[in-house]
Amino acid sequence: MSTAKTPLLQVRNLQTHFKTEAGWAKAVDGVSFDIFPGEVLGLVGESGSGKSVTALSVLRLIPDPPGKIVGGSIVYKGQDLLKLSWEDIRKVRGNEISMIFQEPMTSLNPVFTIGMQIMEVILQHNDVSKKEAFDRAVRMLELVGIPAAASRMNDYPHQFSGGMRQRVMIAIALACDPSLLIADEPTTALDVTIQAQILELMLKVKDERKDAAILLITHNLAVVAETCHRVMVMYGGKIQEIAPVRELFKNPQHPYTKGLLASLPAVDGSRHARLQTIPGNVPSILDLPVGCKFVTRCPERLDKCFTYEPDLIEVSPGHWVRCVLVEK
Amino acid sequence: MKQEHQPPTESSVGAIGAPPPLTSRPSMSVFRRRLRKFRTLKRGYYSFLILAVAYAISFALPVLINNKALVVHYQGKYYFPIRQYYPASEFGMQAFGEPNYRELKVKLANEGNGNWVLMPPYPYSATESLLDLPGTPPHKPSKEHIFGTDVTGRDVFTRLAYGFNVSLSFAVLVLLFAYSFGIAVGAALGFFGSFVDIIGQRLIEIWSSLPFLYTIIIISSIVVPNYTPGRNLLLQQSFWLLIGILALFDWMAITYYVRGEFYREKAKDYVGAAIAMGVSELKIMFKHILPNALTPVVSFAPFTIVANISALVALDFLGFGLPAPTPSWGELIGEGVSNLTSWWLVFFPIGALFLTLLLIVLIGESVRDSFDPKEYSRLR
Repeated sequence: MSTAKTPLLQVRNLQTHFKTEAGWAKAVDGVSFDIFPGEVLGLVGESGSGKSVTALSVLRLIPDPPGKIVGGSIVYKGQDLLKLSWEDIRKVRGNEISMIFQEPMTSLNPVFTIGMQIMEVILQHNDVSKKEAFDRAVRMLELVGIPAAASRMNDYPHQFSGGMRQRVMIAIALACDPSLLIADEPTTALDVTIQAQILELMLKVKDERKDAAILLITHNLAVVAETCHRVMVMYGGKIQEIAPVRELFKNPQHPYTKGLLASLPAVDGSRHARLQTIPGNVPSILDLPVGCKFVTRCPERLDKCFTYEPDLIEVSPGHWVRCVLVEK
Repeated sequence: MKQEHQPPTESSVGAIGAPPPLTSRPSMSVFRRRLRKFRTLKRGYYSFLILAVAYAISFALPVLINNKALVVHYQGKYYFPIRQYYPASEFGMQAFGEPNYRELKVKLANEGNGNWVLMPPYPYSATESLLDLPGTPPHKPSKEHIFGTDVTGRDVFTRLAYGFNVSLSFAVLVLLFAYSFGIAVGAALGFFGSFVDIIGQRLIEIWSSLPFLYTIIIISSIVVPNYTPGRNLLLQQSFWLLIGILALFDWMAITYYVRGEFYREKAKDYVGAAIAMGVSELKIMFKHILPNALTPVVSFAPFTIVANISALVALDFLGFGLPAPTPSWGELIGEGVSNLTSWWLVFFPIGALFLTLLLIVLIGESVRDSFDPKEYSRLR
């Protein structure tokens, strides 16, 4: 689909490791992907699969120590973010690439008004007067659908509900017109009804900005189906499958993806059918299998899976899978 | 008669379903709410009012308690001795130096030439020895000298009043310097953590193991600060030297609390969000985290003021405090202890000290209570 365009963000062989008492934990181990302008890229996986670390690595937000980006490149608009100075990466954060976190209840500073917090990021990255920043902050609040925006500028975070706070977070994240929005489970902490509103809002504001892209991290496949153009499935710090969203749901190739999809409760299914699960747990990242990372839980494993791990293989245009079963 | 159940009418449904009218409610920050809570705690709030008013008044003491006349009307001309020095000969008196305005007042009144002197309400100076009183000092409390005089014949009430201003100013200034430095150090330790924290804490431990009193004794025996008589206390070198020394030993305690707060706050999501927005480290430390980490600072401040006042009293008592003629409570208590039979030299200074410390402690207690969030969050 959009492979002809130049990618907005090009991640190559990203390796982020954490130092623990038991040795180096390879939380992200050789992840490569592209994000193209105007697309919503989903990143799914179980807890501990390395989704959030991948997202944090893009903005170099990994706490160091214990974390360390040990290798790879993250090329954004032609410059490698991993080679930038701290001073320069700060100019990218919030300005070029923004991030929305999972917890709207605690992501706002309780001692400042909402208005001050939106204005801060505007003043941080733009040479504008306070008056202009204020007006822009009011427009952002209106954009994210906060009623009586101007009068709510002086309110404190504790006067907002969870959904409203997430709207404010989105307003802050978008205040400087970033080209890439990284949303790390933005709806996980919200009510189901609010979740839909927030997702819709994110897509709406993305569509208003041509060429802006979203990296949406979630473990909710329903959210992925509804919002994303392409999906990456992560497991054990590696990408196991990348595909356009329809292709992935219709024709999953990796046993892990199949398992994930099978574990969704089907609305039209029989009431008495047992909900499918993937047996076992995510292996500790300190003790990952030598071969395929999914081998310990894979229902279709072969003997060689224990020692051999294939590269991503393109099975159809834009659909890549890391599994021996699709190897010719 | 049985009342029949009425189905809701259309209008009543509309009223239920309609959104409530948008009322403009005031936005209140956490600090404003705490302030409001503080006001409801009567004991602390009134203590604060009393102390604040008393401290404010104490800056007007030269007009209220002084041996210099406010206005002298002499031979058709007005003089303002409180602002300017006049020799005694100016008013036709046979004396050198500044006239005794109390005597001048009596003299001019007796002459009855339309000349007059307006004295402050309590016409005695804190450094003036009243040698013309009958008997030998210390004098018992009397109508003129309500708290009596000390061993050198100085009015005790006057010295206590001036000493109040000195004590509180001193304590607040020490607090300001010590806390500014302590908060900055604690913030750095907590925010940067790891080896900065470990090394910093060890250095603080070494520093805090220095014996405070010996160090002061040693310093005051090496550095002999200048005392310029007649100059405002705030311009005295020795006053600032003492503040500096006390501040040097006073900043350690608060670093531990600020460090702990920073450790807790820096892990919170809003800090992560600020970092992800490209806010600089210094700004995150002092703009984002510090206001959230002020709870221990505000709740310890009154008790630190108490400690500072007591420290000054102790130093004055031992003779290492403020230089001699400065009105100080510790020096008065010292005199009282060596003249136990003169009960007013013991009772009034200690009473004043006790009252002041009590008021501050009551304030501190209420501040702590108003910062306690538990009242709202306790489950029953």
